[in-house]
This record gives sequence, C-alpha cells and structure tokens, in this order.
Amino acid sequence: MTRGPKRALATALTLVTLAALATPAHALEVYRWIEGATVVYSDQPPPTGAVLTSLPRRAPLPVVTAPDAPRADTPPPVEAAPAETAAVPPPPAPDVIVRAGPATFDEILELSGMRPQLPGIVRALAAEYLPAAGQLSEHDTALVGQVVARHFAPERLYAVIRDDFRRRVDHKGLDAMAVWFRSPIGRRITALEIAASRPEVAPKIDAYAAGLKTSPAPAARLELVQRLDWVTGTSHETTELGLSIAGSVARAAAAAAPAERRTRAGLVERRVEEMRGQMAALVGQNVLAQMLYVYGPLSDAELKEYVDFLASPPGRAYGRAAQSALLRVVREVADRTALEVLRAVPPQRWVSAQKAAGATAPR
Amino acid sequence: MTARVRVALAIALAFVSVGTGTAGAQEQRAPTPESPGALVERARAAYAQGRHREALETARRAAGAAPRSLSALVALGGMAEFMGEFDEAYHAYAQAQALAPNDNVTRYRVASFATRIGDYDRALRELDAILGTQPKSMQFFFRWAPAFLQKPLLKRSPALEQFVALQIDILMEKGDVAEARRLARRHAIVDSGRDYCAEADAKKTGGGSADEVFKAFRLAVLGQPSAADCIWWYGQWLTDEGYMRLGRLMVEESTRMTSSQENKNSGHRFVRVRLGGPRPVAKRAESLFLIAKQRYLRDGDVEGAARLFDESLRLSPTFARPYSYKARLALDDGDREGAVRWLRRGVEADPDSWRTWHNLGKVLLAAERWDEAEHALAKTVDLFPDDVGGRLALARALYAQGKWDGYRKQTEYAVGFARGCCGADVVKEPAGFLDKFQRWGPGAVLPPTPDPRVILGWNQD
Repeated sequence: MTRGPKRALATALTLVTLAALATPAHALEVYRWIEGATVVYSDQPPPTGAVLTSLPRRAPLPVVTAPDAPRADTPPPVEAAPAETAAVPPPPAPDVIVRAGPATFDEILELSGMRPQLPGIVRALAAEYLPAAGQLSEHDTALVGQVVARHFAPERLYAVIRDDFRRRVDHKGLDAMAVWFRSPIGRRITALEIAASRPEVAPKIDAYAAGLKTSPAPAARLELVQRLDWVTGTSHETTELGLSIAGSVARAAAAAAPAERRTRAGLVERRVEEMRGQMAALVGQNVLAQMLYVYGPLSDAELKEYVDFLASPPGRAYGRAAQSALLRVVREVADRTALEVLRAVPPQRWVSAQKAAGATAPR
Repeated sequence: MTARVRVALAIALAFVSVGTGTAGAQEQRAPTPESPGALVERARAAYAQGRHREALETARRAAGAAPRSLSALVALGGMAEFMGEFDEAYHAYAQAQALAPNDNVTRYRVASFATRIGDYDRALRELDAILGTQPKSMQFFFRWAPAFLQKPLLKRSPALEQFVALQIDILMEKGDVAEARRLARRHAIVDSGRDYCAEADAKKTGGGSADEVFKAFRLAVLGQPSAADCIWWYGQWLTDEGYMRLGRLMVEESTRMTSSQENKNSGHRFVRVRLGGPRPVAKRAESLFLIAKQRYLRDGDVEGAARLFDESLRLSPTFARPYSYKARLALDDGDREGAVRWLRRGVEADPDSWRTWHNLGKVLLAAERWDEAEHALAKTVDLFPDDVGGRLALARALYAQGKWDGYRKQTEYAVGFARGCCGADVVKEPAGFLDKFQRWGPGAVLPPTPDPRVILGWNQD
C-alpha cells in the first residue's frame, strides 16, 4: 500500500470547502488597543492612557423569525444587532423554514453544512484506502472495499461527531451560533460551501486556481480570505486530515512488518510529522485558491461579515467544536481502517501486485 | 578522548611501528579463512565499513580462538573500547600487555584507553615509556633541543609532531593547562608574540573548514593565555561536541582570564546551566555518554546505547545529558509518559540544566499539557534567556492558554534576538504568525515552534 501522503493530500484538498469548521484558539477575553503604529492584542487590560478600540466590528445578523415560542427555562438567544447598522442588504426570502426558538445540535450541524457535506468528505477519505483499478485482484479489492465501507459509514460518523459536539457546546452556545446560521447570509454562505463541495465542481476550482496565476485576486479580497483562514485554521486542519490518513497507513504498515524489522512507533510518528511542512505549504496555497472560488459570489462586505462571525465567540466555539469532532473521528476511523485493510490484504500482496503491474504512479 | 587525539594516535602508531616490535609484525603468516588472523582482518574491515557491532563480535571470536594472539587481543581491546565496552577493553589490553610488556602499539592503545576513562597519569606514563624505546640520540634531541631546532625536527617527522600533540591534549584534558602550554612552547608548536586569536577569528569568519577553525583556536589557547575570548569559544565548541570536562576547563579558564565582569558572569552561568555547575561529570561517564550517543544516532543500536546511557548515569547520576537521550529513546517507542519521567528525573538530578528543562517543556508541549509546559519553558528561558527555540515554545504554551500578552512578548524577544544574530530567515514562520496576530488578533491555530540552532555552545541534545 504505497499511496501515501500525496494521495492523502489530494483528498485533503477536497475538504477545504469546510471553511467554517475551525479549531480556533480559546475564546478568552481579548483586549485590543493602539500602541504607536500597531494594534496590540492582549489577554491583559491595556496600560493606562492607551486608546482602546472596539473589537473587530461584527456586522448585524438579521434574524429570521418563526412562530416557535422560546423555552421558558432557557436563556434567550443572542440578540441581533440593531437593524440600522446592518452592513448587508436585506436577505432574500428564506427558502427553508428556520426556527427562532432554542437551537438543537442537529439543526446547527445541518445549517452549518457539516451534515450535508459529511457524505462527500467520508467518500473522499475512504477512497484513500481503495486500490487503483487493477492494482489488486478482484477478491482483494472486494475485501478492502468491505473493510473501508464498514468503517467509513457517514451515518455512524455523523453520530459520533454529533455526540462529540454535544459534549463541547452547551445550549447557550448553541443558541448563539444559531443566530448566524439561521440568518439569510449565513444560509447563503453554507449553500455556497455545499455547492462547491460537489465532485463536479472540482475541475472548475482547479481551473480557477490556475487562472489566479495570471489574474490574481484583488488585495482586499485576498486579505479577507487570508483572515478567514487565520480565524478558522482551515489550512492547518486540512493538513491534519491529510496527515491522519497518511499516518494511519504508515502506522499500520509498521505494525504489519515482522517484529525484527518493525519501525519503532515514535519513529513512524516522526516521519509522518516530517511530511507536515511540505504538505502544509501546498495545502495553504490551495486553500486560499478554493476559498477565493467558493466565496466569489459574496461581496467583500458579506465575506467580512462571515469572517467577523467566525472570529466572534460563538463562531470560534462552533469552529473549535465541529473541527475537533471531525478530526477526532477521522483519526480514530483512519487508524482502525488502515489496520484492518492491511490485515485483510497484507502489504506483501500490495507490493507483489504492484511489481506485477509495473511501476504505476499512485492515484 | 577527542577525535583529534584519535587521529594523532593513528599517526603515532605508524611512527612506532617503524623499527620496533609491533603486534602486527609478530603475526606475519598469511591468514587462512577462519584463522584468528583472518578474523582480525574481518573485524578491521567491518569496522572500516561502519559495521561496528559485527566488528566487535568478530574481534571477540578472534580473541576467543587465539587467547595468546597479541593482534587479536589488541583488536578486541580497540573494538570494545570504541563501543564503550570498557571492562572488556580493560581485560583485553591487560592480557595484551601481559603477553608483550614492551610492545609500543599496545602501549599506545593503553594510553588511548586510559585517556578515555580519565586515567591521565597512566596515559602519560605509557607515552613516556614509548619515547624511552626510541634511540637515545633522538630522545635527547627531542627532550632538550632548543625551540628553534624543534620546529624543523617536528616538521620532518609528522609522527613526532603528533606525539607531542597527543601529550598536550592529554595534559589539557587532565586540567594541567600550564604544563600543556609549556610543552607547546618548548616544542615550538606555538611562538611567542604571535596573535593566534586573531588568526583563528579570521579563519572562522573567512569560512575555514571546521577542523581548521578548531585547530586555530586550539593554538590560540596554547599560545595566548590571555586571549579569553578565544578560549571561551573553544570551550563552547567542546561543550557542543559533548566534551564536558575539557569544555568546562576552557570556559573556567576564559572566565578567570577575562577582565570583563559581564563575561565573567556569562562564564559562570554557562558552567552552571550548561556544564553541570557544581556537579562535574566523571570522564568515564562522559566517554560512555558520547559513545552511547554514537551507537544510537549513527548505528541505530538502541539496546546498546540504552545500556551505556544507564551505565553513564550510574557513574554520574547528576549528569543531565543522558536523561535527555533516555527520554528520546522512550519517545522513539511512542512512550511519551516515559519520556516525561526521564526528563523529570533529569531536572531533579541537575535543576540548573537548561537543556533538560527545554526538552521537558517541548515534550509537555507536544502532549498539550500547557500549564506544565509553561512552567518548564519559563524555567528554560530563565536559565538561558537567549534560547530562541525555548522562547517560541513558551510562547505557544502561553498562546494555547489565551495568555496573549505573554505570547507576544516571548515571540517578540525570540524573533528580535534571532534576527539580530542569525538573519530573518531563521524565524520567518514565527515572525509571520506574530504579524498576523498583531493584525487580526488571535487565530485558530497555535503558533509554530521551530528550534533553530543559533548560538555556539547551546546546540546539543
């Protein structure tokens, strides 16, 4: 099984449309002030006399009302900003019914796009373990397919993610997230992300990325997208997903080796870690290109509104919880899958099949 | 024993082989495939090709097959010594000397071994004995000829020059720097009035090879006792290479010689946080550590290395460096908790060991034990404020806990220092991260923690 980091990387790159899934730094108190020519961020209050500025301005979030009455025993949802400061045009009429009452975990995972995109993510990750056409015998190909299908079942993974998410977010936090995800702009952005995650869009994104070399994005848009990556950590998390897959194969291959030739566990991890730098550089570039494509239909003001939400405490809390849940489940499933795949079809069979077929490039 | 001493020894062996009975000369018959002679040849070939464990095993077989073969015993002694099997080496050399008490090759080997385990007087006695076997006229000339005649004499005889160099190195390791300098002057290795320190600096900045630069600084130490800066550089270089005893002697010498109070403080601190402070390391423990490191890093001989690290710690329990390697072995096995335990033992054994705190902090950081990592790394930069990697690691621990102000201060210090000493590229990533933080506030990802090797004297383990 030689399809290592490159292939994993290719898959990982398909996942970057999950820009809203982030693992931000802990949402503690942040102070901001001007010191000379620079803006200072600190967990400590500013020194006396410093000019305190507001935190990055959060655009108002239009709230879609629905007839549900709020629960009597739960705190009210986060208030929307006054309508007169709205930075986005009035939203179009909602195409789905959005509740105004207390949010549920399923609702947030649905509205954020996590649930709709999960089958695609799972398919892409599962494909990492499948042999290229003709690489293994029919029997072995079927064996591998069965193992992979058993572990990469979207419903099962979703259940794990939801449970993990539930442990990390309380109802108050959930309601705060709902303010954004229920808003027309929030739903519109999620719709863009879902649309861009469809397999048939991938060639368009590739072509768009290639075109950026000759006609780069405007500086203001690039800055917004870079900030989006900064607050969500998308590049980093995409790299982590890629390394999870590559690492699972490396660990399983080491475990399958005869005891006298087995690479020590720590050394395997070190080798996987060595892939990070190269992978991160590639992923970083691709993530920016994909973000530019995905959010292309948005105005700068709309995109800024999105970035500001993601940088806000509810946005950070959502990103951290969702991304951690996804990464955790992928890591666990990846390790189990790789081990079982190599148990079902030992490495020698992959190697001998490859030798017989000649040196074929990994898919 | 330094690499230089080993090279000197090899040349000196060539010197004594001429005109004196040698182990090699005593066994002139062509070896048959499994004869002791053939086994010795195979051991030497394996050694030359870097198959050191096989070399030792083969030498053992040779000595086992021919317990009265001088070459087999000397080969076994040499291989065992090289692999850190000191008891085995001791017995092999003892048997060899019992067989041929006047053999100069064996004497050289014994001198080498004695130096390696810190028995310097024995090493010097063996060298004296070797000189005693040379023709009287040569001995007289060597001992008593004035300096201006010594120079052409040594120039004509590289082996003799190496012989003197060996004596000087042993005296230096013994701590008798004054006698080493006297010998260097007597044999015209150094001339009075010459600015060796400036020449060494020129070589250093002019891109001379590491060996050339090292030799130049060594001459500065011998020829310019007042050149405190050069002695300081030499001491730090030796420390990086793992020669704790000689490194300490040089740093202490430079600290004594310098007129700058700041440099004196710096020297005292270096000895405290880098060289074990009041916990000097036994030479044998140091040698075992150096060999263990080689067996681990060069040969991948984990089991042998672990045993030697343990032996080193048994001899010098407060020697911090082996603890870091024991931790590294644990990490190689995927045992992070084991690594933390070894490093905690290390900082208990030597609470002033900056590098051990640094390593502990990094392991805790990898385990995302932020507050513990913060404590260890704060201790690290307290002991060594210019530790760029330690500061960046501390910055990450602080960032992870939302201590933004602390993160910013530590990163600014590290980036500023690294830029000043080594150029912007060394800390490009942390600097870029800090820029984004200043522009956009806290991000989702933790800051990078490269560990650049930026300062001489602080680069090991």
